[in-house]
Amino acid sequence: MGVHAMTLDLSHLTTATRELACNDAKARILSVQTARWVTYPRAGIAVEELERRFHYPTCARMPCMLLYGDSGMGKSMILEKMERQHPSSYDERKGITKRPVVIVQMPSSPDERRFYTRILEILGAPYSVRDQIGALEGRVIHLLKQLGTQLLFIDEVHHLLAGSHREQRRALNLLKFLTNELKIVIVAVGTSDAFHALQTDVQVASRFEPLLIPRWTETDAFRAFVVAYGKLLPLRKSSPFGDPEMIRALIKQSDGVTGRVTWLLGRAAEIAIQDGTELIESSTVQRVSERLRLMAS
Amino acid sequence: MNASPKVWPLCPRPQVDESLPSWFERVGYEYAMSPALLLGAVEHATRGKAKVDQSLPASRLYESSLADRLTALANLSDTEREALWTSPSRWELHDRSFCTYCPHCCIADLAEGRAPYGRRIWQQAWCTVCKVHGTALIIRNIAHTPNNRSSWSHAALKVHREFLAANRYRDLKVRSQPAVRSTILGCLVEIEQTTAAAIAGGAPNPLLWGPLTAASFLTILEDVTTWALTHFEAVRCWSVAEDFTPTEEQEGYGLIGRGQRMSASDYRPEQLTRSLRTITNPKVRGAALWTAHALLATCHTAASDRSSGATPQDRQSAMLAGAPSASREWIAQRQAEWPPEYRRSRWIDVSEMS
Repeated sequence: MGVHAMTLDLSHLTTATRELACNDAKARILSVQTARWVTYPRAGIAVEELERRFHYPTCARMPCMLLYGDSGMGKSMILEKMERQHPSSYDERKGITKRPVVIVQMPSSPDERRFYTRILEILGAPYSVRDQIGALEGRVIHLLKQLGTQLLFIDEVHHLLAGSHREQRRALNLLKFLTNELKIVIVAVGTSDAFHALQTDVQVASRFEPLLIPRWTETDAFRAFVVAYGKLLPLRKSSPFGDPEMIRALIKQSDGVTGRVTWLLGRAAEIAIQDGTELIESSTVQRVSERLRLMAS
Repeated sequence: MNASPKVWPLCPRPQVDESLPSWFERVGYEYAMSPALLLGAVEHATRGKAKVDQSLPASRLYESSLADRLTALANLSDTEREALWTSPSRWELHDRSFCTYCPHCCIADLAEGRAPYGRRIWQQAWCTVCKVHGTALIIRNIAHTPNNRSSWSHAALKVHREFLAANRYRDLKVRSQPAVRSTILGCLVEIEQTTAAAIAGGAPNPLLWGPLTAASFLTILEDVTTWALTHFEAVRCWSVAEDFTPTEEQEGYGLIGRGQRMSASDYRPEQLTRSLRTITNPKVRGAALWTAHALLATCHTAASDRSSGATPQDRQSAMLAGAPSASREWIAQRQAEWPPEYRRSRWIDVSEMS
């Protein structure tokens, strides 16, 4: 059963979360499990850089970018945020769906056909298995131009390492071709492997300016991130998110990976809601982590 | 297949008077896909290794299951859907593709900055003359290559237009008589207008066509044109409609024309006759309507080298006398269905011809 906001001191939460904190346990746990965007300096820089590139005038050599970092560092969240900020719109008179931002994943093995058909699938455009690669390529180029695409994200770009040397060369040439032909900003996104893969081709490396999303360390920025994240968890009591002990515990248990930090906090919040303690302490984080280790062993 | 599909990111809107195959073709151009390939992609038929027929059976586009899917993919409004999937009438060509066009209309489309499109009216079997420009429709023979963005070339259209207008490339076999061309065009326009009005429910002018209701007029027109187009002989020959005099052949260029010499044995096994609906080429249909005008209209000026009389009965006698007896028997049989008063006042008794 939910409680009335007046009976609780919820000043430790954001205004929107205060309402959620009055809901019953089930609804609050569901809200904890929902992904949310929390800005932090590095992500802020990434979004700012992407915004700058989004508005860049068309020129022969567009400022492409390589966004890289370990898995779970929130790169995909940055992509989704950009997509949310520039949503697609449908022009009923012309029958065109404008797609300023397109996100596509590099196929698990670098294959031009699969790459182009994946873009066509994402756009909802028709294609046939009988299409030649040239036809698919032409269709993708024509569509992205017609749909007014300004940012093309190629996620999991480190997959190009999964191919043979010859396939890797072809995938790098594909990136080069797309930057030349489309004259839009292409953002390659992947792990550190992607950085190394792109460095193997001087031309590609010079086109894609790298931006690293590094792992967290015990810094003020991390503290600020944890405190901001804590304000979004609908717990009815204030938790010591900024305490050095909590910060140390989170860094130790997560290895500084954003995804693991938020997972630990989320799981701890679920436990706090279920057992009625309504707050997270460093010991809660350790308990969650131990349980995780037990499950894995 | 049944899940709600994504709307196509690029999809030109259908024009108000556009035919379904024409619109579908224009959609295909946006993706550099031939209509057959696009249809395969829509039906997921090409997802396997199955070989797909490159020719598009346009009638498949009219299937209701495909109508639902295309409506969703193209985000069509109810009005657009209703216009594209109009219920078929008994006057639609069997070939439902975008098979005929008016070069003047297509040039006008290009001038207005849009892709040329096929009008629904061009799919009507009785329509051989453009209602806007008063010129002959042309058969469209276009090979779709997957990389085509458009099959229309302004230069090619202009050549067609000028070819028809100046008729400058023909061989003059007989003395030039430009008036005959105007006469043929006038007759075609007259009979096509009357047919369009009759389909809409309007009775034909009794002074011009005799005492007929709209329905009777359409039945008689269908019978007469089918008779004129059918080969009743065992040897290869021209049908009555295609058996032109030299002046008709020369001056009627583009408006009326021939297919090839045939006999009834050249027809498909299930086909007994050739009607307007079975013939795609507008100039052959024009020839049948020209013959029908001679047989049915009160006033008909024939080409100068065609023996013709002052009354429809005179012209009927002349034409039927030269026709094979099987064809006379056929028309006599059909006449039994015609209104008796009309037969008495406007037709000769074919059964009495020896």
